[in-house]
Amino acid sequence: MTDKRGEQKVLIVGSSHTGAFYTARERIKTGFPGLEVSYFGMPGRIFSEALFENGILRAADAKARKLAWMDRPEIDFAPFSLIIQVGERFTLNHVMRLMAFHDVLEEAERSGRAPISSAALTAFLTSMVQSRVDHIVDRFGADDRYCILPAPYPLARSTTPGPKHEYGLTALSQRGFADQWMTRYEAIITTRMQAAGLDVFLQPHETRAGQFMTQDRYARPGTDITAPEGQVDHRHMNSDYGWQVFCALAEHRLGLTPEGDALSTQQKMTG
Amino acid sequence: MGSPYDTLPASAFWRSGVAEAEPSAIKGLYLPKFPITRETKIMTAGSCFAQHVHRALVARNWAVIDTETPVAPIAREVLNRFGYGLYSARYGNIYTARQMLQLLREALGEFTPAEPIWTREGRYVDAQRPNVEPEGLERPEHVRQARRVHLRRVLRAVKEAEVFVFTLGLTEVWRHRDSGTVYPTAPGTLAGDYDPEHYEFHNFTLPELRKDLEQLRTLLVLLRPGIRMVLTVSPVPLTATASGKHVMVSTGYSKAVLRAAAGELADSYGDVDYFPSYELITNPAAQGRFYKDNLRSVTDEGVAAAMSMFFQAHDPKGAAYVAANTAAQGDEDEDDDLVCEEALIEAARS
Repeated sequence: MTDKRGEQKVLIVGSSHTGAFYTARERIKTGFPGLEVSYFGMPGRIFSEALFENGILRAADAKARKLAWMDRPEIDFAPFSLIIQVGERFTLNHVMRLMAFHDVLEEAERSGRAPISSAALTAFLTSMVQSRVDHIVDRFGADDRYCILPAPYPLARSTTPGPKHEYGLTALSQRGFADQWMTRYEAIITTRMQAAGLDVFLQPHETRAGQFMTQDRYARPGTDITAPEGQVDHRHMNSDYGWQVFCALAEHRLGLTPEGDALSTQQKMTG
Repeated sequence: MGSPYDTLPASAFWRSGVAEAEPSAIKGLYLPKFPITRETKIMTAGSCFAQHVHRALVARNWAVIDTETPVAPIAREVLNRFGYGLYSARYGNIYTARQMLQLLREALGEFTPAEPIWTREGRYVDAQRPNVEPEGLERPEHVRQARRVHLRRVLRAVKEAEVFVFTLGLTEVWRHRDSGTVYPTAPGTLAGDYDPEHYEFHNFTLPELRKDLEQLRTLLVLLRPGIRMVLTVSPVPLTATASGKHVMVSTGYSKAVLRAAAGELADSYGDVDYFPSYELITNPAAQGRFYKDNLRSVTDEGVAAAMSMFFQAHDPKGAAYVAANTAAQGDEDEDDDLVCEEALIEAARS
């Protein structure tokens, strides 16, 4: 859908991972003048519990904390031609632990952990992904305006011991078969989403550190392990990440590339 | 002088105790010897009816032991397809007391099953639990590796258990002629090849079963002093018999032997109880309503009636407790709330 100036209306909606995009909003505005992008984000649990009725998403609890840039308590999906849903994790933590804490019988590596067959592991990954796909469809329907953008993988630095240490990720990163199985996991996400009539856009490889971590340069400032307790954060990314991913998604979904100064920024980012 | 029956309760008479009673809620049918609470660590095993017992206990958040099932939001039917989440370890159905005894002895290193690996369409399966890998495994060593860990998990389950709930399913069994190794299925049924030179049919007698149950109890107590047993008999009739007799006659024999053995053991030991789910499901007053159309499988109503009898006896206020304590579970896949809000607040400041 376009407005009277011919701009396409895009909505970025979802959990706290919308923050990376909101902080990149000026670059997105400059780089994509043909897009009118709106942002609507809620903390994960509030987003999970938010009600979606008649195309309108609203927090279940009217008292849910309102944030400065959430200038409205609800959002109507109707005006938008592209709705980017941000933050779905597709049971990533469980997936990582399942892989990290089992020995896959058909793989050569042995750690002494419980064995699991490739068939069982594949079925379990599929089941967990499917449960999330079903949840999305049940909640929002299979609308071809949607593009589901999974939450970014944790930062590479999260494998260093300290606050918010990603134990499962660390264990998985030490398994020789991890890359191969994470690729299968992502293939399952793509396949199951397609089967449900939903578009999914996986984390661009240029933002990753290895198969299932995000490069540390996308960390939000002041959130490393030296930060005060409660502010350490290895999961939420900065505006560079928001910009980088938005560019990749705009090209994938709309065939658009950024213009002007923003273009050079983008080129610099992708190096 | 009156009759000794004059002072007996209504439950002692067929008319008042059965014919005129609601089949799903018969008073006094189960009078437990010892209490079992939601905190009691329970190990389950047995024939397929035991799966219902395990599932019902799990559904009520009782302390059912499970040493092999991954903790993850995996659909139950998917877990079950690979033998997970059915019992306290991934041993599949254990139809006979001999098979259970053999499993524990194998776990202790006292017994090595003959012909432990069978083939199916070029893939390899564990002959002692041929259902747990529907597609079989690529190599025989995969079966062996998986079984080694499984046996350790079986022992762990026993050592954790305070109560062992065991459902007796069959007396008919296929066994290895030379070693006496028993198998849960006939060779050639789900996997393997039937060779009469190697395998033979056997129908356990009451003395044999009594002896196996005695030895099973002894072994369990040795491994886990203080453990108690609850025996049940599966109400599910035989799918087929290899006895040469009519399947109904064979079913009658099998259930009679199992029921008698369970009753005798329960009458002999204070730490062994009998749970009469068999009687509840097969009650003539139910007029078959606890069986599905195939007249074998137990209906959901039948399972619910049996488990209701269990919970009424052990935890009469349980339903209210479950309702009051089933708070929404946090999804560990959610990002930390505090960090979530920090990310959003920072975005607002930008």
